[in-house]
Amino acid sequence: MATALEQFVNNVRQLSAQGSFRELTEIIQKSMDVLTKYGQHLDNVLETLETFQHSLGILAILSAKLTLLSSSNTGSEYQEELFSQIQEFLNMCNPDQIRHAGDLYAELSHQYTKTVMDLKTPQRGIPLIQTAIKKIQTSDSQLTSLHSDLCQLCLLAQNFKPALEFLDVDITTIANEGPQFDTKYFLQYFYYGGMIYLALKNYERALYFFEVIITTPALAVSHIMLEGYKKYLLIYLIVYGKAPNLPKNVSQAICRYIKPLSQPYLDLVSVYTNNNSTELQHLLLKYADVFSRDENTGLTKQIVASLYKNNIKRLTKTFLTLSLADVASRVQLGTPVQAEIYILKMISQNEIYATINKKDGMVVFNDNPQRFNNPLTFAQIESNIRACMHLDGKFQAMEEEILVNPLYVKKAASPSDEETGSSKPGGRVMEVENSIY
Amino acid sequence: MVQPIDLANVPVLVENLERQELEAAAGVPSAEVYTKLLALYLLQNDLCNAKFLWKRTPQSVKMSHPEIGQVWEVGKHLWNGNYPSIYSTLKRTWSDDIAHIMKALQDEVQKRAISLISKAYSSIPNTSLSEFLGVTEQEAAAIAQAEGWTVDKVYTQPVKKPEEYATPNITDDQLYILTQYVSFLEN
Amino acid sequence: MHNTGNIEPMQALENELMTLILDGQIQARIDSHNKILYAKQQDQRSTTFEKSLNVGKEYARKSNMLILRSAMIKHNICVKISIQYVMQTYNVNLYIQLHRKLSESLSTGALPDVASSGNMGPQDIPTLDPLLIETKNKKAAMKLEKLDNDLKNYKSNSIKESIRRGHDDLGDHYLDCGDLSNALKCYSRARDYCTNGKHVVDMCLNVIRVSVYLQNWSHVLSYVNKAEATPDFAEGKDNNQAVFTKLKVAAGLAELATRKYKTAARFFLQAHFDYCDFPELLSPNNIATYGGLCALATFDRSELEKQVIFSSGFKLFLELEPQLRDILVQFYNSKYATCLNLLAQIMDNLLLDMYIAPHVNTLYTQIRNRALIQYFSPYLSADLNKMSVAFNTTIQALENELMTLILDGQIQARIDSHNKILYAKQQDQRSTTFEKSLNVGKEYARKSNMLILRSAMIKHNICVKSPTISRSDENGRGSEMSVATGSLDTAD
Repeated sequence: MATALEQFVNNVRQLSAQGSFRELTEIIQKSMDVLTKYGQHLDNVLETLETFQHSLGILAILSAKLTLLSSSNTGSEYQEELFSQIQEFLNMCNPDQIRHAGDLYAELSHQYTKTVMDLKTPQRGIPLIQTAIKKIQTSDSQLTSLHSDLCQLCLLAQNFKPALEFLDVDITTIANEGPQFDTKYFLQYFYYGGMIYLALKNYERALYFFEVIITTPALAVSHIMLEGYKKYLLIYLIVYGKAPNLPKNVSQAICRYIKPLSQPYLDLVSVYTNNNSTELQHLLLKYADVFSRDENTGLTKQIVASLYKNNIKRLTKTFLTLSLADVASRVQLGTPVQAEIYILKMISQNEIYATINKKDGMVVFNDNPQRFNNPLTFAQIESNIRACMHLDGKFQAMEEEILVNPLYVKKAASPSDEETGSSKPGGRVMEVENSIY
Repeated sequence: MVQPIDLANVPVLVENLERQELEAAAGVPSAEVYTKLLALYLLQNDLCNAKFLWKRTPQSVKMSHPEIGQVWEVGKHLWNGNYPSIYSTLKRTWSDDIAHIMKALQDEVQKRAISLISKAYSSIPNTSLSEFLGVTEQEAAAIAQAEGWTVDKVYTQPVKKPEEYATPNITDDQLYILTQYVSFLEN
Repeated sequence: MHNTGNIEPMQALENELMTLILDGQIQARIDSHNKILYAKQQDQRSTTFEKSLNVGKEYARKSNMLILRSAMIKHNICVKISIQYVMQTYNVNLYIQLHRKLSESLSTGALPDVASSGNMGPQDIPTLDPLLIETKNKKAAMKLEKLDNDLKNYKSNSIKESIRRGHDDLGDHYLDCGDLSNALKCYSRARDYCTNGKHVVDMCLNVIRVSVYLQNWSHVLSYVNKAEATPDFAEGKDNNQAVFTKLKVAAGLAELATRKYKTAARFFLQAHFDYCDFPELLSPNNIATYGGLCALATFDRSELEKQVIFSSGFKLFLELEPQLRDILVQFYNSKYATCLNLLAQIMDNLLLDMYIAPHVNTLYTQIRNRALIQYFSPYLSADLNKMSVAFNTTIQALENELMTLILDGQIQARIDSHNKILYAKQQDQRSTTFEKSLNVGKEYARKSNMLILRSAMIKHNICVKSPTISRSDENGRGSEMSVATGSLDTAD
């Protein structure tokens, strides 16, 4: 009967006017079945409600409609209408209201993403999710589970710039979405984000993202962590050119379960550290199907290139001049022409400083001509210092926040109990300093 | 009728086109958007984004507008650093939309080649020089001499260009910043 | 040079000159066409090369034969002597093993001259005597029983001194039988019954001895420390010198075995020559060799000079090993070619030595690296040709060696491969400091961001858990999930 629906609408109207959103959220949770039962009336209901004032109610209705979309065989017109309704809602809804039902909002976004992916048109979902994220975020650096949706869509659409504006911001807090923020979306965000940076060849930032994945606390093994670990190993080789040493925070699950599952990658690491390109090629041939199954073939090709580059870099540290033929033989590149091409590429990307003398067939390796005595360096150092001071300020703020927390005060006063939750604040700064110096 | 492109405007143009792509009706933008954006990415030397733009261009657009394929040919050679092919693929009549972009791209490529050669080579055979610059040997020699390089029969000796920096204004703000540092360090 | 005279005397002169040239008394060549005698610079370098190659070949061949022979002889003699020695102990297992070894080596193509030219004829080869084994076993068991009973008696009488001695005797007996772990146990048990410093020291020495046999080096080191820490030990220097030396030598052995060559050298250098009487550990020659080699590989020039070459104490050791002393002196005088040659000569002997054999290659590489570094230290630029001659190697191999040293940071230099010169390189402190500070800033920012993220993670309880059956899907579903299909192929 439609009265249940009417009751729902009345509740929405009343409680929204009163501003008692928590009650409203609870009612919504209970009424989801009702809404799905009366699917065909939902459009009428939508007419009666106002977007800004009754955002919570509309949110509930829209998610019900979305669930119906996948189950029933509705036409594409219905679909388009729904999408435009969602768009309108996202543009005009009231952020404060929807923050009360964070999980519902997130669920809406997940459903929408899935629908769009199933329709094979991921690109159209991108601006929508962008708006959605901006609406619910309380600050730029807050992570929501919609972030992972956005990255997923961008990857599928192969259009990365929209995600970059979110990826480039360092996360400092996590949104409140129901009783528990789903770890899956957390890991997924960093995994997809890492892959996006990889595609754009920003290896350092990609490494950072994968490092976050493997240092996530874990009591069980997750596929994402396994794949993230494998990619971490490979990217570490590309960035630093030596064997990876895992950060201290890596969870036990990695050592116990994930390492044995990634044996080909560990073999790759040990062959790489021998600096021998032919051995590396052999190993890649041997494990070609493993790498292709994990979709890491492209990365392995980049690793081969990076080994040549690293060997050339080692030559620049020891030789002053060297003939192109010698470079080719020492680095196992085949012909001097190939060596010249590599060196030219590295010079153009400012990875080494050298001059090629074609008349004698020699390369002269120079030092970094950067004398650090120009205004550019000064500006760089200044901005670095300012960034560090800013971070320190953040730490101070966090410390103060904990110091005045009554729970902490109680626990600090009675030294017998251990502290649960976050570790001691002062220790954190020490931890940072100790790990650097 | 090729109007020169204002290089300072390029980032704005790119942003506009990207937005157009995203907001297009039913998720499929027009071919002009794709072609222009691809050309602009090449001009900015943003080869990664260019590659993915090409990858996500729908097959239908690629079929109906072969010009975008031609732009991508240039991009492919840019990616591989194959200078002779870059110049040969650039030498064609482009549609009005992108003619000015492609001309600017050609100049850019030549400029980048000159700076790379001056940084990387202390002596380079004249044949390679003409390949890098996409011109005949005489023209290459002329360009080289204009840059101040010594040219002889077989080899050219490029000269490194010192880097130029903009001098910033050092004002009283500097003093304020320094006091901030000191007080930070003392706490 | 022109000659005067007619044609006939010219022929005779040529013959005379020929003899003189062939004898090497004149360095010249005859141009018979123009009748001119040209003085000839001996290309020292190439002749030396040739000579050394030939000498090398001969040497290798001969020494291989010699080594093989001497090894076999030594082996057989050693085995025979050890069999004789073992027959006097209760160590039956070792006896059987030795016999087996002897029969193996004699059956596998042993050189015929060994048996005939050596002092022992075939009739001297001992055979495995099963009766001997029986009797030995019985005797050992009997003695063990007796000692056990004695110990029990002592324990019931609660006289500390005799209990301690009883344990010691038991330990000795086990050692004699070759049962090292039990011996160690007994000696360690004696610790609780030691009443004065001397007892503690004795106990430590026993434990050290067994640990050395067991190759349990951490044990050796800890007991050496224990012995030295005994309060009464420091007093009464004289008769403690022997103990002191023994402890130092044992510690040196332990450090050598654990590859801590510098500390090993220091310990060996502290040994006193007159108090080196512990044949069960090693001989003064060994001390000289080990100490000298480790010092050469790890000490810098001033330490080498003061503590080894011109040290009064160690000089006596070095006299036992004149070759080693030569090596040290040549190294100190920068005669690297001779030094390295001499080292190569004694290498084969060293490989037969049980304590130092596993470390010979490492020590030699270290010594060679030190020589290279010392050679180059006074130069701003050095000719690679000359350097390769001095170190008896090719330019290519030398370049590779130098590359390793430069990358390790042991030499600050750059190789000019075009002109074959090694240039010393000044480290530009200022630029490196700037670079370092920029990097530190970047690292700090990265780590801080990671930490802030981590605290947010912990605050919100982000943790990968396996799906629990009771709770609903809200908990972190870690293990069942799929990475998005159609993920990127990041091919270049």
